[in-house]
Amino acid sequence: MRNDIIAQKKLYASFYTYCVHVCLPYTRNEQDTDDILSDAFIRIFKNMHQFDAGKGTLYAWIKKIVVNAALDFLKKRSRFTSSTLEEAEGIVIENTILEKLSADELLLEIRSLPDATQAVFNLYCIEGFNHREISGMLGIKEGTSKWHLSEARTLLKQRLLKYELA
Amino acid sequence: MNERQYNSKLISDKLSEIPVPANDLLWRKIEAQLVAIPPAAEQTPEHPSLQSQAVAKTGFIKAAVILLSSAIIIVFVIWLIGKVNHSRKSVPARQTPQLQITDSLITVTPKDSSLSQQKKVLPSAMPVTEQNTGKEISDTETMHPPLLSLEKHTNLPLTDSLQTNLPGTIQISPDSIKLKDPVPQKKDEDYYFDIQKKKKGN
Repeated sequence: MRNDIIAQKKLYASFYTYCVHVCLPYTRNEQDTDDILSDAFIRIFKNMHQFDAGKGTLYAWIKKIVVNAALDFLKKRSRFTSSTLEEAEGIVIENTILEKLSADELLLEIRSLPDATQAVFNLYCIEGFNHREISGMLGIKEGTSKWHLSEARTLLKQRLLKYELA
Repeated sequence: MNERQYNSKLISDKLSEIPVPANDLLWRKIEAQLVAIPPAAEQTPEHPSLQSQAVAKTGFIKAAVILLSSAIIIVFVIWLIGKVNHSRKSVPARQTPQLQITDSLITVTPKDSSLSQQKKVLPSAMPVTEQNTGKEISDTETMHPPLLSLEKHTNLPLTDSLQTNLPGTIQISPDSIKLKDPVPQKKDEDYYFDIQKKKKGN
């Protein structure tokens, strides 16, 4: 796979759409998406020999690489420093609101969040990580992760209110 | 599945509805980067489990080498310390200088009172000859003259104590040695009488 360009192209074609959907919540535009995916696919082809089918599926392995590439991209672009919180409530977008939202609207609302808050929201609400894991991945304190989640909850609550009333 | 996991799935499913057109431009960009990577920099693909075993084995060997070299160094240091301590103990204590009686220091006073003077015996400096034969003793004999010659010169009765067991040395007993005439010590009473005499004289 590493040196077989045909096989690499086939892999790219098979997983491109899946990787884009994983990457979209972490970006603000198509250019950001292309930059992240370019880096992610290079890492996939370079480290293909490390994939162990006994430890997980190929989809999960590729998703992990794409998320890490997206986080590296965000960390280069913005600083992840802000206030901290001891406790923070979780975020659950009401199913009724989700049903009313289109995919593009949902993506638009997520992209409206600040970079650090957006990353914490994606890792907590979409990927399912806890604050301890998020703090390790982003290199921030656990309290900072909680603060960003609380901030996302506050901002999204205000923005999604119009959909609730509609 | 709890509420959070369900909500997560809903959001993911919602986002996956977004249409994604093919992006050949991105593939060309990726392909250019893959070609630019030199082949020599790439490692030969190995089975992940075998590679991990090889890494573990190499790490074990390295650790063993480090432990062995450390043990050798420690043993060497202990041996060195022990050798230093042993050498300190084996150094003989400073010997107190013993009185060595050389020929030049000996003054023998004979028991016979006919001899008024103490004669210094310097056998090594005296040409030793036999009175009867006039035979000259060789140079080697002058270094260590026999006591027989000594007796002839000084008429000293030879006692066992004066017999030499080894050439060049003389064993002297306390009886035959009188190194110095004792100075008579004035008693306190003498001083008293002297003072009395002086007073009477005045």
